[in-house]
Amino acid sequence: MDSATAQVDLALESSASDTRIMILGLGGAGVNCVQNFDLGAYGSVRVVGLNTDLQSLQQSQLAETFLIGQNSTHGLGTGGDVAVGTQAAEDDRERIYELIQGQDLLILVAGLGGGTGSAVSQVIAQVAAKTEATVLAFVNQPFSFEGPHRKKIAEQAEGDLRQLVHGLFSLPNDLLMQEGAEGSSVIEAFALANQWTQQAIESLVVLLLKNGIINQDLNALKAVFSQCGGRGFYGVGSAAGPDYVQKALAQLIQCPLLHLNQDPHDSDNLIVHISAGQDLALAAVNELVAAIRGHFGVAQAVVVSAIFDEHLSQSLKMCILGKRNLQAAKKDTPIPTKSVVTKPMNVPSAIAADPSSQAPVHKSKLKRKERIVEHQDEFQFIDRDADRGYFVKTDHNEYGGEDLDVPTFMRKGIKIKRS
Amino acid sequence: MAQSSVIAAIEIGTSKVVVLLGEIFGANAMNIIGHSVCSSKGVKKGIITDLNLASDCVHAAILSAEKKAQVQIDHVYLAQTGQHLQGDFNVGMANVSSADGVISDADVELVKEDAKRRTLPPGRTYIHHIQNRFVVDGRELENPLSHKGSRLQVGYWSVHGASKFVSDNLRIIRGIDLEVRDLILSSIASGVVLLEESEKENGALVIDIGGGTTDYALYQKGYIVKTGVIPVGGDHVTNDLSIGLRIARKAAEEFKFKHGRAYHKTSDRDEKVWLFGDLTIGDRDYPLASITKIIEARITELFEIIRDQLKASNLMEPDLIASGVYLSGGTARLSGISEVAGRVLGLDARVAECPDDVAEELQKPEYSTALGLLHYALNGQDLIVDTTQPAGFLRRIRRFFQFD
Repeated sequence: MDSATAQVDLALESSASDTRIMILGLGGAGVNCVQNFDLGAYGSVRVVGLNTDLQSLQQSQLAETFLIGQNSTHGLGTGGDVAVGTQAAEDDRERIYELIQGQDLLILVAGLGGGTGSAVSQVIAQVAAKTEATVLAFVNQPFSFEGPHRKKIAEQAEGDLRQLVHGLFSLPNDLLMQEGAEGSSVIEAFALANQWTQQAIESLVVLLLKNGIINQDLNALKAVFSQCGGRGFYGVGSAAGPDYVQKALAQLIQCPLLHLNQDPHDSDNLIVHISAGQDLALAAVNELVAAIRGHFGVAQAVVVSAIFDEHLSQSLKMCILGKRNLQAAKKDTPIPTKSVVTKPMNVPSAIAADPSSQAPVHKSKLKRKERIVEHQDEFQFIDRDADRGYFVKTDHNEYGGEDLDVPTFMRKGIKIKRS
Repeated sequence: MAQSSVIAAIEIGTSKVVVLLGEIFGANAMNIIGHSVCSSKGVKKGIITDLNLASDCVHAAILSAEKKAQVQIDHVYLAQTGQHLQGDFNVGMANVSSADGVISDADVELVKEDAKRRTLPPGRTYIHHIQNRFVVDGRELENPLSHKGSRLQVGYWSVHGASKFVSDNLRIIRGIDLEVRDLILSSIASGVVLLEESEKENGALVIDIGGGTTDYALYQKGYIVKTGVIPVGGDHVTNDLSIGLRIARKAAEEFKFKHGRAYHKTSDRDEKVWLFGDLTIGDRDYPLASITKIIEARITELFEIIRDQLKASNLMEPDLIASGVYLSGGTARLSGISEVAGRVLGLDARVAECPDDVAEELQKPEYSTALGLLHYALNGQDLIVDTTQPAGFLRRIRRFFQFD
């Protein structure tokens, strides 16, 4: 009897210690992206689809869905109107809080430019700020051909969202035209986008939940994504067969996500995650990390995680995630967690323990007001300029709703081969 | 020699700073006695982004040119570019005052004033008022004085810019105690040197494609009828290549002129080109098709923008641009660029040749603006631009900043 109870306790303990992760697919694009996630093996991961459009939720294969703004949109969607989306999310603030409370890591997946993804993501991020969760967002920017209106909404939404989450990873859909095979369909292009997002999120989940040769936990992730704002980036690479280590590395370095206008070469922090078969030598891990470190010239920490996957042999998948904090970003505002909250006027413990230290003869009756160090939002104005690469600091170059500084071939969807 | 006979032309470009010194002799002849070129720093898309950096390299260039020529200059002619420059066509009108209908000096002055009196929004200043033909009762005339008529009209293409960007340029020159005698649009300066009078008469489009901007000026019937600045230049081509092929900017710059072509050919498909081709470690081959596709997209778009801007002003009349397109600026060296210009604009196009009476090294297309400035300083100004306003404008700017 006793042993049975002990076993139950043990089970409870292990599930309690698991990092609780919630992946939220927001809006039509977000729901589409997350519904193929196969993360059932990890018990503490919840995948939830959120939308204002009931039909999209019903058609999805997701076990957990969440209809937002039933009273305002009646389950009919927002019709691309951000104001409607915002209203819908505002109405449901409390339900959203109930949904996301108690999570350690929240991953938002949304396509920006429409009504739901653009608006709801911000409200969720605001609500999430009241919990202790680390919030990461993977967003898609609309195609240029979708028109300047959607682009504007998306840019605005991305700028605002970036202030609210700990890491924002943006994928411009224009890039998909470059990557799909010649004459590939729209569906294939979106599948590729989903696949990239999926691989990055899967890496995060595996990194946190699976044991391997080099383990990392939530705190390692928090160290990288310690503050709101800044610009996240990620890249993926995978290869199999002979020379798979070199091939995967080459693929990672060539990964188009790392070659957008922003430059990953001066990132502040980097997470390198490697999933490989049992046959991967530790020396190879070392080699990979050294090469990545050299290539990206990371000034500060590199967090390495390496996991064995029984399905992989003579092959590996890797993913890097990083973040560049913008110049005006506050460098040392950690996420307020329990362990971090300190009283600023505490007497240092070493002195307090010293009996010879002079204790005050009498205590002032005036209480010193405790300063509450609040997490301060970044200044907004640096933001729009952060992703303009070489043309940063110059005036925006808008002509007919397009930014002329963005390569023409990307805006027009001309496919460029590199080898 | 007297110092006042030396004139200096300065172009603060996105990729380089050019200083030319010319010595005037005789009525209107000039020797170029010194020149220097420095690569620009702190300038992007024709706009100064870092005043200190830009200032340092302009000063270095001036000092080096002075040293070569063994003279000291006291005033300069400065080229002006940047997206902030905009133009409007304003028409002035006046009724002929005398009873007999003969047009007098006073009438001409009146109509000129009328055309130029439109006030600008705060923060903007006029740079040029470029006069067009007079019209007397519907009849076009070069000089209406002593003609008879009742109604006198004149059009001006007036160019204005953002005061803060213009004053940045002035500050740099004022920083070493030099006077800016005049500001001239880069496109107009290029036009002065590249076009013959007959070509201006037949109609011509000068397009100066620099590092960060493309400046154009359209001449019809001998007059400038429109100018424009598009903040796209060779830097954009480099940036596109660097992003598209995932190579460093330096390598992209190398590719642009070594293998680049402004249009794509189907035969490019199978061809591979090496980045360095000298067995450097890390060198690899790239499909030529990718390079030409990237450049073609950018260059085509650039000419399309010019075409659309001219169309919007109802000036895209091939008959009135009979001499065609003259390309200059550093990016005009890109192979095949005149073919693309011709195809998009529907006009004859060629890379303009600088006059052969200057030293060979100054005949490259990227020097046309600076050479044009010297020409302009020597004899062009009366012909083209009404200079009274810029002088007043300079005084205003100076008052505004109180340098000394």
